[in-house]
Amino acid sequence: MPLSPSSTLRAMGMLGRAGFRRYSTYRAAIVGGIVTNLTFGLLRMSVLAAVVVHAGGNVNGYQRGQIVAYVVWTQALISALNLFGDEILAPRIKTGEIAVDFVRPIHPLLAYLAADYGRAGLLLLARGVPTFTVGALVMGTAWPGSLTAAVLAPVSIAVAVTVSFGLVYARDMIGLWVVEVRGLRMVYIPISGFLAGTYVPVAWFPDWLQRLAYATPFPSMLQTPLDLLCGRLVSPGAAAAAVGQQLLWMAGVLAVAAWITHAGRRHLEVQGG
Amino acid sequence: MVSGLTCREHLRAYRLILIGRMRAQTSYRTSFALDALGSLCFTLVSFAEIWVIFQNVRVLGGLNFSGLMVVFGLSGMAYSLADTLFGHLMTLSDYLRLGTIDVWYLRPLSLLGQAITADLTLRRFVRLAIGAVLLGLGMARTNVPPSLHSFAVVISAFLGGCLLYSALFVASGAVQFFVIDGQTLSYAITYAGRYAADQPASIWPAPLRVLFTFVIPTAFVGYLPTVTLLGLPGTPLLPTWLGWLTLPVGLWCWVLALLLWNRATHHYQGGGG
Repeated sequence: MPLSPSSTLRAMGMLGRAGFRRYSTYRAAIVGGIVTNLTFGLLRMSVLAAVVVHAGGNVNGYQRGQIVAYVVWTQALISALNLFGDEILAPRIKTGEIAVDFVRPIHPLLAYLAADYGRAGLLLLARGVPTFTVGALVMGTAWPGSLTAAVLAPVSIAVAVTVSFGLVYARDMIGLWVVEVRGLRMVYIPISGFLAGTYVPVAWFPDWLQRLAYATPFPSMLQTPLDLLCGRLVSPGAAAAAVGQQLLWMAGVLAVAAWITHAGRRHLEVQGG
Repeated sequence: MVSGLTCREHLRAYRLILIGRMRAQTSYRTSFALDALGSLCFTLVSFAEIWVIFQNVRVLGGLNFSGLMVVFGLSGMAYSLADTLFGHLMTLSDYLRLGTIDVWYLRPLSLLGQAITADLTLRRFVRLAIGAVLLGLGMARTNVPPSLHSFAVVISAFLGGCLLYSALFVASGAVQFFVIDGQTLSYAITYAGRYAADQPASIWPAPLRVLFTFVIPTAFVGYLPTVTLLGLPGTPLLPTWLGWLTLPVGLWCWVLALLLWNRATHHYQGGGG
């Protein structure tokens, strides 16, 4: 029996809190993660800033200060946005525990989404904030360029968490058909990260590659919130349009994830168990 | 440790272990093919990062795109061979936590020998092939003459680079005997060194340049031999002739890594189970 909307929301709230608490227990991993994010931040900043300086001070709208901000914000968001595509469902599909998730009264997509918001919230606070603070103090940073951009930036981050979640969820759910998704994961991680703008800003890509990137949901996982945070999207119209496009991708990705869940559930029934 | 085996019996034991690992890897064909494909994607995307950078700038740290292909090729080849043989030492903490390692102490084979042959990841050979292709292309495009001099630099860089990276893996493994859950620390050091090796060391600010030349000396893997190979002028702190020293530097790293490894394995008191 499916839950009523209000009970579903209450269950999601509890799952979110559980996700938050679950990740808060790995203190050493959080500290280690901050150190890693900062180390790589420093290295990436040196390389990309050198590129800007060598190119005469401006690469497609990125001056030195902006590329530094791009690196600092990226390193702060990397874990919360799950840009390295860590598994969400794959282990449960391998062990067969996914069958239990299917008979629960709450839709697995909503249950896992709630838990993922909890995870992202904790990582944003415990890992993102310290990484950003130290990174901004040591290297410098930039801020949203208008009130609209500042208001929309947190919304954009939440949407990015959702898009990233939906993609990894759908990717893992394919495991119901192929069982071993490790190969798929190893193809997904580098390609999604690259097109999201994790390594180099999407604006630095050649034109054809930029068009290709924006024809995928990946820039909605990182580049859009970065453009708001670093002050590249300033005018209210442009900022709202970017977030609107992100929301469309989010709806599309969640629809696909829901459809794969539906198909997978029937497929699992066919297999018997 | 008392060892009752002759040298021949030792070799036979290791040969049997390695044959077994190879069979295990290749018996699941689809999984192996997907792994290889994933490896290919990872390598191509990390190269795409450099390619995008050179879409925006002609010369970086004294090297053009072709020069950087040589750096990337040398570093990639050395890393993939070292990673195939030693890469799994990064996950030694799993063996430590499970107590599997206690068995290694009881067998009449050396601890390091067993640690090395505990896993073998053949898919990483894909990267060796890509590295070789990029090295060849880069050398052709920069008109490096096919002389004994160039050949000697490349061989010394490849062998020295393998030694250097594998020493880094052994040291990472050793650290995990001392630090519980030391994996994050090992990852930060090893992957930072690896990331730095693909970049022209001339772009680093002085402290990082010293770090990657004298402390985690991965500049000796790609950048320094490339400068020697292409006959480029040196940069402050990094004269051209340093590129000849990769082999001795690799050996020196092994001496340090072995000392650390011996201390670590004697320090071990058991899994506490």
